[in-house]
Amino acid sequence: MTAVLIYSERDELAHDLLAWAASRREELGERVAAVLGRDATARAESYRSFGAARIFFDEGEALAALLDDVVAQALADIVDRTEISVVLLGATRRGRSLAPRLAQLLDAGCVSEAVEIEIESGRVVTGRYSLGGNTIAREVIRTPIQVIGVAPGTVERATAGPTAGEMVAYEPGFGPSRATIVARRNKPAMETNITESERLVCVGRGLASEEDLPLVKDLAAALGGELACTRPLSYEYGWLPEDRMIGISGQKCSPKLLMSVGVSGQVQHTVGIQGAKTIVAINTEQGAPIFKLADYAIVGDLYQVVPRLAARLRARGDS
Amino acid sequence: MRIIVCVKEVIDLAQVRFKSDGRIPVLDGLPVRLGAFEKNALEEAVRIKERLGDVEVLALSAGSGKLKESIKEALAIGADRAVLVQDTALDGAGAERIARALALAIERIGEWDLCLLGEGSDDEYTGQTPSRLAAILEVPQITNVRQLEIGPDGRVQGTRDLEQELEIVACQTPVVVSVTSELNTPRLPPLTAILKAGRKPVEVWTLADLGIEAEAIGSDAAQVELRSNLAPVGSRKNRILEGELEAQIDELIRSLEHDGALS
Repeated sequence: MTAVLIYSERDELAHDLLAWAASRREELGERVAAVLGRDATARAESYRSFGAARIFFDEGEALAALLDDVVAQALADIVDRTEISVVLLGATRRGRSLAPRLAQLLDAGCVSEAVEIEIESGRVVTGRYSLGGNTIAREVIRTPIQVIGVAPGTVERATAGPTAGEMVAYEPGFGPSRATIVARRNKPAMETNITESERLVCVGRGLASEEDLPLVKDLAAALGGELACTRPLSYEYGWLPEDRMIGISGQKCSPKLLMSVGVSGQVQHTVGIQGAKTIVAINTEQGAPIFKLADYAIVGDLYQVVPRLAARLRARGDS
Repeated sequence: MRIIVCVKEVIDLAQVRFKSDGRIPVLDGLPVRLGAFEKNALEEAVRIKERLGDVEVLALSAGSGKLKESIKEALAIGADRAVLVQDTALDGAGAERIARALALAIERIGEWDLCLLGEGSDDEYTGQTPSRLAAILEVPQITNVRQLEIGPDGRVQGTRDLEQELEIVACQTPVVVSVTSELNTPRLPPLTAILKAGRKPVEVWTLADLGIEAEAIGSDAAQVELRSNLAPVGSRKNRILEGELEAQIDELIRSLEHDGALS
């Protein structure tokens, strides 16, 4: 009898993965979950409604800070005690950092951030971005234990079901990490979560000056959406806060509609927009890489196109 | 203090082309260069050296490729010397094999305090090497670091850039740290530094030098089988709108309405 171990420091991600694994119980077997760190005992209770058969929990001192080295050790321990063949982790930044460390301890192959996951002929097949987001590498892990980080939003949102599952207190046989947390600071409260917006306008270096921001803000407003940007506008120029930045070091977004304005389309950015359902690109350079990703392209000056487009969208709303 | 910066040579991704089917990437003959995150790691190491003085910055790379050109760039940014683990057995090696080769090299190098890597590579960005390396070396890891300080007591303090929060983690050396591009802006080495780089010591080791048989390093396929690596099926319409601007906007709005993309 095989089993699957599920862990994420973000409970809702773990719930989603549990529910996904439960719907593939024939291939994956029993669901085991681990809940570690602050308030783990109370949090673990919620896992019982998402199909976990056994839930290991611990909120002791060694694991309280959730540092990678000790969390990996705890999870490796739990894998050793049970018949785990697949470990599913939420691929948050913590999860991405944890997954390879755990894999190394288990002598296991690892996919750290799967954006696709399915089961084919009894084997877990994952897809992840490769070559700077140009391609998707579809892989099968061949080691006896497979460690897979699953990107948020890859599997369906779970809904709570009947409550079951056995609670098991986990007692780590090791002390805290040599590393310590000095401080945790929330990032400045997000004005808005662009990853949840259905319509986005993303502006890039084609915008000549900070004073021109109202132009693109107006287009976002006309669409009933939010304004996002590429890295230079946020990190380098400071025109927009980092929580609006899309790309490898920013947010990954999957809106219904993304209007890309004055963005050349370097891979570090486009990785963050692959999930958009429809992409409109407006750029002066016909050869800009962004056009390859676009459903609809307007080759033209954003200063000409954007105000007219915004006006037309508004007129549409009024009629 | 000794800082080891592990660097990866990557292909120039902007030059990736696809076969006529639009899905199969053509990678042969593409120029290689030092990865972008690696430059941030090197820059930080050099800044620490400039601040503290008694620091050796060593650039370390493992692979089967040329390595020499990218390592020259690392030396030009300011590494004092370089070690290359170069072996045909590392051809196309993934994070697991590279991490083992790096760990063996680090053990051979001897005493070290801080090991810096990029949080991911420009090409694959799986971010596995720092964590695997730290696990093999049995030291803590501080990943996704956007601000790095070395205290007077030699304690390393890194600010991790997580989704919702910044987490400041401190650790006595030795420790492995992976860095983000927000950490600093890497310098463009002046011509004199580039010329000087050619005279800095570069040692080249094979796996045999590290006491490991080429076969023992295994193959990536033993861990992860790659089934395909293709551009996503041409899911985009790629329609370039034509005519007068007003006509283009008309057509765009009609199409978006048809697709159900507008509210």
